[in-house]
Amino acid sequence: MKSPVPPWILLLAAPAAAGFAALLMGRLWLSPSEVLGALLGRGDVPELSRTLVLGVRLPRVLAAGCVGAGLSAAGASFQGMFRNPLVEPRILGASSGAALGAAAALLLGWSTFAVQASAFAVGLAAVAGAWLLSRGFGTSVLVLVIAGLVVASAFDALLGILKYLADPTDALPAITYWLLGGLGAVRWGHLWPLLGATGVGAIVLSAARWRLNVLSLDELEAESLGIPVRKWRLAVVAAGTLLTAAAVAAAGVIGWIGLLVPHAARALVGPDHARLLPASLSLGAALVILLDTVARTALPAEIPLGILTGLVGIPAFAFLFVRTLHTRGGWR
Amino acid sequence: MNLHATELWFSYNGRHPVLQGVEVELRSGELLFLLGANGAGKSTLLRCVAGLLPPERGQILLAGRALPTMTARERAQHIGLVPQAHSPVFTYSTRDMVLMGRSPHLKRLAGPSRRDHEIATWALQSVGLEKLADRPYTALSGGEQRLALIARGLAQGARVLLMDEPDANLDPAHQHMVLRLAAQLADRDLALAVTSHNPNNALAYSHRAGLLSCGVLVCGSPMTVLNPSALEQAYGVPFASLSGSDGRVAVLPAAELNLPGR
Repeated sequence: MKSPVPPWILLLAAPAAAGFAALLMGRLWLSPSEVLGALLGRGDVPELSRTLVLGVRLPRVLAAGCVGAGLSAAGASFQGMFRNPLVEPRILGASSGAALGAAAALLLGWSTFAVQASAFAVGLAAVAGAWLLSRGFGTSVLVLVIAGLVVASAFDALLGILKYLADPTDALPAITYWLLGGLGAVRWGHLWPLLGATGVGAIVLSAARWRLNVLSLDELEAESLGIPVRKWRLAVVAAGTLLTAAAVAAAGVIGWIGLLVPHAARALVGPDHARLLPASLSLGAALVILLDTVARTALPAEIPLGILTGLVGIPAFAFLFVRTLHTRGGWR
Repeated sequence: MNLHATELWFSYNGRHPVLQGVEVELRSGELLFLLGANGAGKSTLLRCVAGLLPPERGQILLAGRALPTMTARERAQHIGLVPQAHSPVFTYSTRDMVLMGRSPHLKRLAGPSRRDHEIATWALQSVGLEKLADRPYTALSGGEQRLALIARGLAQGARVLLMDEPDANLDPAHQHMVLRLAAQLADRDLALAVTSHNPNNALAYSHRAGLLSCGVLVCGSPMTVLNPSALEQAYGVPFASLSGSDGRVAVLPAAELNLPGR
């Protein structure tokens, strides 16, 4: 069955359509021609519309796209590599680390940019710690998962201590609100690290995408096929961690996306990671762009993005889970 | 392509050696059966010979070249391992499973090319699975899964195929289907080694047989190696041998049952 449209056009179309819709919507609704005019730099667009589209909404749409694409691609790769469809990108501790880094920076009253940098750095450090810890106990992926669990629990406990120490009138609410997740603080100036990290992570995982099929087999079997398993595993862990840490640093702790989107993508294109990974990137970007648009437009005050992904994610996951069990008899 | 291992020593914990100076030769055009009790080290020997477990001592030569000097990629272009049937977590199509055999031939970061797909199709045809190519591998029967894994080894371009208990958990017809294919591949000049728990399959299908017991492998013609007294020594129960009117021989365990009512 051959689709008349080249697949890469479909991959770009979903996030592009979601992004265009997001640019129209907001407290002030804009017409499609105004948005197009602003994007193309036409002179007849009012100054306010231009500022709204280019200065406020576009960076936020790009950030949402990066967060969704990054978490989804990391989730799809980790599910394959750990041979477990219930794995989330935070399994190795990137998310707990980033949360601790952000909380520490908020406690110290650092700037928004410094909070993001601290979250990103501690997120990477957490996974590096899990990786080093696992190396002392053999090479199986199970050891790596347990090491990730240990590190994540340790960082969660430290986060609890920071919250306990935080001033309940200003620092504690700031930490709590940050942890709920949201893209309200996104500005062009802070966006480049997220765009860069997402680009690098997505390129590495795209290069590894067919080999993820082989990595999802038994380790000895993968080695008998001539794949340098440990090298590819390190590359996938590094890229997935880069994506996750960057996403959490920019948007706070956003659950469900990294678990849900790979399942939805599997239902659409099947389990072959060569197709699953691009589909996850595309669907994840589109979904988070839409959810973030709802987050900033549905109510007078902004809804934290993490709450919204949870509200949408749980029933969607339950639906996919039941459908998968009934129609396919296995994970596709 | 011949593979010759000499004086192989291997132990998992450094104290109790599983292999104690094993010599084994796989010759192209030959199907070699490896038998031995549970835990005797058949799978360990297979993994050592595949280059996946480095032996403590000993030499493995593949067409005259020392195996440890080859890269994992080079090794995989010549030696294929057919694991015991298993169930991957994800329901890859049979074609995708076979296509994974092309791994050691891919360019650095590339996925499989059109030619790799053609080779996978050829491999599926050689084992007679082309009609099931688009079915999920996990939906195949146990025997068909073995055939698919053999097809993967063929797609790999392997001239030496090592199979871990390909006849386990299969009914007699499916055992025949898989082992007949193994014998046909030997006729196509591949070198095959098959581990098994069924001495009668060795007597029926193999060119040579090896019996692994107490860390030592005795190799030779199936009829001489798998005689009742050698089998008794290897498995610890007495064996008897029967010959049919057509001259074929079978062995069976002949322990006294002493059960009431029989």
